[in-house]
Amino acid sequence: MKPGNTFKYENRLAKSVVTRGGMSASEALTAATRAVEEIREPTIAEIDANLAEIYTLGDELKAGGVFEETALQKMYICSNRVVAMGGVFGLGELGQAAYSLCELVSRFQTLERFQWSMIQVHLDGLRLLRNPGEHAAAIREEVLAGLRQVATSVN
Amino acid sequence: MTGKAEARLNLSKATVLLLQNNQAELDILGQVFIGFGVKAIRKCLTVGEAEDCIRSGVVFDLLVVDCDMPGHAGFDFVMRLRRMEDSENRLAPIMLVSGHTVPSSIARARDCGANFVVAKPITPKTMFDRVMWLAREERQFVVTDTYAGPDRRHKTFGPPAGTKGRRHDDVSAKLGKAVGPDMSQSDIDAMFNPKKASL
Repeated sequence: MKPGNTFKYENRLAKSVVTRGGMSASEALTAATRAVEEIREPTIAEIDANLAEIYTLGDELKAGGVFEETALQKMYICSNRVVAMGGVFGLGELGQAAYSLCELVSRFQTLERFQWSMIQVHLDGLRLLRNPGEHAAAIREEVLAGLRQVATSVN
Repeated sequence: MTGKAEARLNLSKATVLLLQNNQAELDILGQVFIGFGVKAIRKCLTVGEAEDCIRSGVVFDLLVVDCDMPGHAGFDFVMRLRRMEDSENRLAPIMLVSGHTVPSSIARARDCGANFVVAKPITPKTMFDRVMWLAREERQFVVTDTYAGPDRRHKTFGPPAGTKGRRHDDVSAKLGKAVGPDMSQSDIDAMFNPKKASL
């Protein structure tokens, strides 16, 4: 094995940090939040499209009643997208529920087994947290705690 | 009172490559960087598109790469880029962004050569903090048979006690005996209390 080579190099991003000109943190955050807000509607539509696909895949898994790798993998991908997008537009708890579903599906894939009731409770959680304003914060937190407990119980 | 000036970010001349595996996430990330004042953004949905951008000769100041590409393609892209000795981009700061990460991917994320991993969702606040952090990055670059990228050690504590270390600049954390005369108090004071020179 050859010895490693360690060297200093120019960080090209370093010149972007300035004391004059440019944007302060608050200016950059205000501008970026405004820019992100421009795509709120299509992104929320994309979140809903992914949720709809998750529910359809749930119906398929329920009807099949057996471990189905393809459907679970699709469910994982859709949930992961909700993780990525939910928190950007005030649906952080929905994103956390989706993260828990990803964790659950990942564990099912590792163990090559499957339990519909555990999926079902996650789908119910997603439906509830899609409209967070309709439920008290304490209830939402309790739902999330329950989902995490379900997902991590799969060993 | 004169406080330290607040650090500001000027990305108006920066060129950024964004690689995400779906359009909606790519759009969110793109809008964040537009808000930060970046004018040159290359948005890619596939590793193939990103590699074309790299080969086009454009020198990027920052790459943001999705961990959630099918078949770990994002990690493999970073590993290949870090080995491209004929490309200036191999030394570019690379940020991985990750949603849910399966355990098998965690080691890959650490070892592919990215500067660090950021958890989704990517909000403007998260991204601003991380870009600032990356801009102040001073770790050295390491190339070995099995790894190419920034030094994975964020702090240098020296090699474990009783071992010699593997690098020429590894210094043991254990202090040896003094080998020369102690510094006088005036020598020490002079180091910590510099005075203006009168010319």
